[in-house]
Amino acid sequence: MKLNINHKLALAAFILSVSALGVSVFSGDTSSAKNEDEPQYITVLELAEQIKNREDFLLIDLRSLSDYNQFNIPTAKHLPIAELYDFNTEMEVQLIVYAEADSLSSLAFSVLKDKGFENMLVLKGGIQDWYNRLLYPKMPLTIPEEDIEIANHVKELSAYFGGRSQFVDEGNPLEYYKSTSSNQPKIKSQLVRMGC
Amino acid sequence: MNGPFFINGWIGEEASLIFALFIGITFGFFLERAGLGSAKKLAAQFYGTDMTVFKMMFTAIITAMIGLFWFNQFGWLNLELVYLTPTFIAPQIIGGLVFGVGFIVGGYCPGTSCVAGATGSLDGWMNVLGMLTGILVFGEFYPLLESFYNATPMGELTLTDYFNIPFGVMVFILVMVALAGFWASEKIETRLSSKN
Repeated sequence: MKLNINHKLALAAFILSVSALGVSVFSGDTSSAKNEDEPQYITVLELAEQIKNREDFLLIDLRSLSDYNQFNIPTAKHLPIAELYDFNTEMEVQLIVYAEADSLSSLAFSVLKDKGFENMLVLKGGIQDWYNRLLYPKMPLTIPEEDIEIANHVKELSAYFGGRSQFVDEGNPLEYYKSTSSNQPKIKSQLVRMGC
Repeated sequence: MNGPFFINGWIGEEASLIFALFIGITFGFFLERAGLGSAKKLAAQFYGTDMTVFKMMFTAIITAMIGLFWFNQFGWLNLELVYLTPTFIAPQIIGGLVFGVGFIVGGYCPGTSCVAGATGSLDGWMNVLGMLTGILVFGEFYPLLESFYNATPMGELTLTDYFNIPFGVMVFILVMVALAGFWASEKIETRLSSKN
């Protein structure tokens, strides 16, 4: 039987897909699209506290130099991802990295982990959450009694870093702050938001 | 050196735009060569007499999927960093319906209307004009549409995440569905063409 070009291509697709099936099944891979090393996160509130308390850590901004010059988190050093491969510092220094959102930070986490750095965290939500949740946080028009403490905490930190709260009439934006660094859902994309 | 090149900092913004231009021209060229600059051929898809659109789309999907799977396996591409359009179920269903109606009435989808326009087709240009007007109208009415536009968000969702099955198994399933679809579409084409 003579195979035409369509049959040959279909056969190639079949072989490659069977091989993909074999690789996934025999490697015990549950989802090969996932990285093995899930980064550990720090929330904007936790980072703000650490900066305010002058704790000892190195904050790294992975974005482009122009973005960094335009706006950055206080105490952050600029270090683009391409230079991270040659980056060196004392291993015991606490590193905290951030970018626009979380994608680039996840890559930086893998690169630094491969270089032997164990003590590092990724800023959850990156510069976007810093701007939208810490500098200019949204507050409900009527703050529920159980959220007053957290609202005051956010307002205090926002004011400390020169921001201000905005009041909105939709849902309860304070829910965001109830998540801790360990239970926050991962934001992967570069979200397009206003600001910065 | 691995992908995505732009996110990893291997290429800058200018180079990525040159890549985009090259890919765009190649994409348009092959769309036209596949006959998809013809409204008659595109509309014939809906009547089942010419399944080129189905075959071309599914070929593109499985080719890209197999490529991404193996590139990820070989460590040439970090799938975690590949941008995915976030899923918003309700607005995307409505958008899909509007798209489908526009496709069958106008005879083109957005990409193929540009291809048809480039070949000098007047109806292709009218579709492009309609598309640009639609974008303008949407932009002007965005404040009214914003809440629906952002409704039912599900984040960056993939079939492997949703069904919690390994990526390789999903590749295998979709390739089998595509090959069965190719076989069935040839049968449908032959049957309906002989009827006409």
